[in-house]
Amino acid sequence: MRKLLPIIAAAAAGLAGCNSAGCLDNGSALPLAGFYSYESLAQISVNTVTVVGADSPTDSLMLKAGSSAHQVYLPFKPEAPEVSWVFKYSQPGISDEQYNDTITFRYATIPYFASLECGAMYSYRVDDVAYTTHLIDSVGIVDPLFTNVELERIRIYFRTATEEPEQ
Amino acid sequence: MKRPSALRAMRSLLLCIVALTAFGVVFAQTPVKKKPRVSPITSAAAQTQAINETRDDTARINAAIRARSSHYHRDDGYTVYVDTLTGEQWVDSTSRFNIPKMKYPLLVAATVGVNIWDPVMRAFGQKYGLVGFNADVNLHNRYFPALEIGLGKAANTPAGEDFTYTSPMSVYFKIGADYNFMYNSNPDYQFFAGLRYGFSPFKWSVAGSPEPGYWGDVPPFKIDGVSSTAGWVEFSVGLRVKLWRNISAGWRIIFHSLLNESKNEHGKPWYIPGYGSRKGVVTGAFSVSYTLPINRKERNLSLVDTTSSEITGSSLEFPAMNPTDTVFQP
Repeated sequence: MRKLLPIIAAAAAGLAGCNSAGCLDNGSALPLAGFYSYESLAQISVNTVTVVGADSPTDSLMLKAGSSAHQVYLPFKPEAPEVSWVFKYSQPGISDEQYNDTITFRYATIPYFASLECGAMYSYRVDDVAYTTHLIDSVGIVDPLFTNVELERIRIYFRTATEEPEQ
Repeated sequence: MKRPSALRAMRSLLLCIVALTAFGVVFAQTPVKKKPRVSPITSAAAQTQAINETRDDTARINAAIRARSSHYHRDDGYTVYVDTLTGEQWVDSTSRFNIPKMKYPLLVAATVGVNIWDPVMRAFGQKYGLVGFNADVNLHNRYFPALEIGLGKAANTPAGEDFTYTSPMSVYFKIGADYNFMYNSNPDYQFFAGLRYGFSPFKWSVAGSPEPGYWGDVPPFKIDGVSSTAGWVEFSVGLRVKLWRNISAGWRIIFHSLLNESKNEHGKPWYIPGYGSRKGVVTGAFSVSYTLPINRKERNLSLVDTTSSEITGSSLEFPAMNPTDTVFQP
C-alpha cells in the first residue's frame, strides 16, 4: 500500500494538471522568410526594403523601408495556386521600380487541423519557387510543407557588399 | 559340671531372642495411630518451590511461551510464533504446513461490465465519448485477463473558434490484464493495477470558415472523413467493490500514451475513440459489473510431516504442538 501512495499522488497531480496550455503556435499557416547574405551566408537585417504582395487588394505592406528587420511573413493565397511578393529597394541607385525583385511561390493548398486550441487552417506544400535576381541572389526552401508552426522555412539571400578592410 | 551351665546360658539367650522376635512381630502388626497433619508455613521459598523444581522442564516452558504467543505461517510452511510480550520470534521446525501458492482456485469468477465514464463526463460538458463494455476472468483472484470493446464519437465547436470537429461513431478495442494486490482477500473487494493495449480505426472531419487574412476573405474549408488508426498503451490503478449480490462497481485512474497512429497531411485527430482527447495524459473509468461466480472455495492448509530440524532466526526450538501439553503458569 505504501508503494502505491506515490502513484495515487501522481495521478491526482496529473488530473489536476491535464488542462490544455493553449496554442503555442500560430493560428494560421504563415510562411516566414529570413534575410541572409549570399557572401557570408549569415543572417542580416535590412532597413531599406519594402515588401508588398503583388496585386494586393489593400496595397498594405508586409515590411516597410525604414524599419530594420531580419525576417518577414509572406502569406499565401489559399484559393490560388501561386502568390508573388515584390521587394522594393530604397537605396540610392536601385530605388527605381526596374530594380524591384519578385518572388513567386507555386504550391498546393491543404486544409489542415492543427489542434483544438490553434484551430483549423490552410497549410501549403510548396512545389516551386521563382524569383528575379536584381538584389536577390537566391531563394531557398528549408521545408516545403508550411504549417502554423513558427519556423523559418524560406531563406532569401541578398547580394551584399563587403567593406574592404582598412590597410 | 561346667558344661551344663554353658548350655543353660545358651538356652537363655535363644529364648531371649525368640521373645524379642515375637514381640517385634506382634508390635509391627498393630496399627499406628496417625499423627495430626501440620500446615506448612507460607513463605517465599515455599511459593517458588514449584517454579524451582520445574524451571528446567523445557516442555512446560515452551508450552507457556506458546500460550502467550501469536503465530503465523511462513511462506515455506513453518509456523512462526511471536511472543506478544517480548516480541521474540521462534520457528516451529518440527512441523510444516503445505501452503498453497494461490489461496483461490484457478477459475474464480467471470465478470462483465459497462464503462459509464464517458456518459457521465458528457453530462458534465465533455464533448466526446460514448460507452464501453468490458469482460474479465478472475484467475486465482490475482490475475484478470481483460477485454474491452466500446464505441466513441465526438462533436466539438470550441468557444470563440470558427470550426467544428466531428468524429462519427467508431469502435475501439482494449486488451490486457489486471493484477489484484488483495489476492488473498475476499474477491468481492479488489485493489488492482492494470495494463492495456488499445486500438481504434476511426474517421474524423473538420469544417469551418477561417478569418480573413492579408489577401482578404479566406474560402471555407472542409476536411472530410479522414481515415485514421491509432494504438496506445494504458497503465491504470483502481478499485472494485461489491455493491449488491453479484453487482459491483469499479473505479480506475488511467495513464495512457499513444504508441502509433496513421499520418496524413491534414493533421492529427483531436479525438481517438477509447483514448479520448489526444492531449490528455490522464483519464478515468467507472464501471458497473456483474460477476458470475465459478469457484470461490479457498484452499486450506495441510500439515506436512517433516523430520527437518531446521531452526531459523531462533535461539529456541519449539517441540511440536501437542494438544495434551499442559500450560505452566508461573
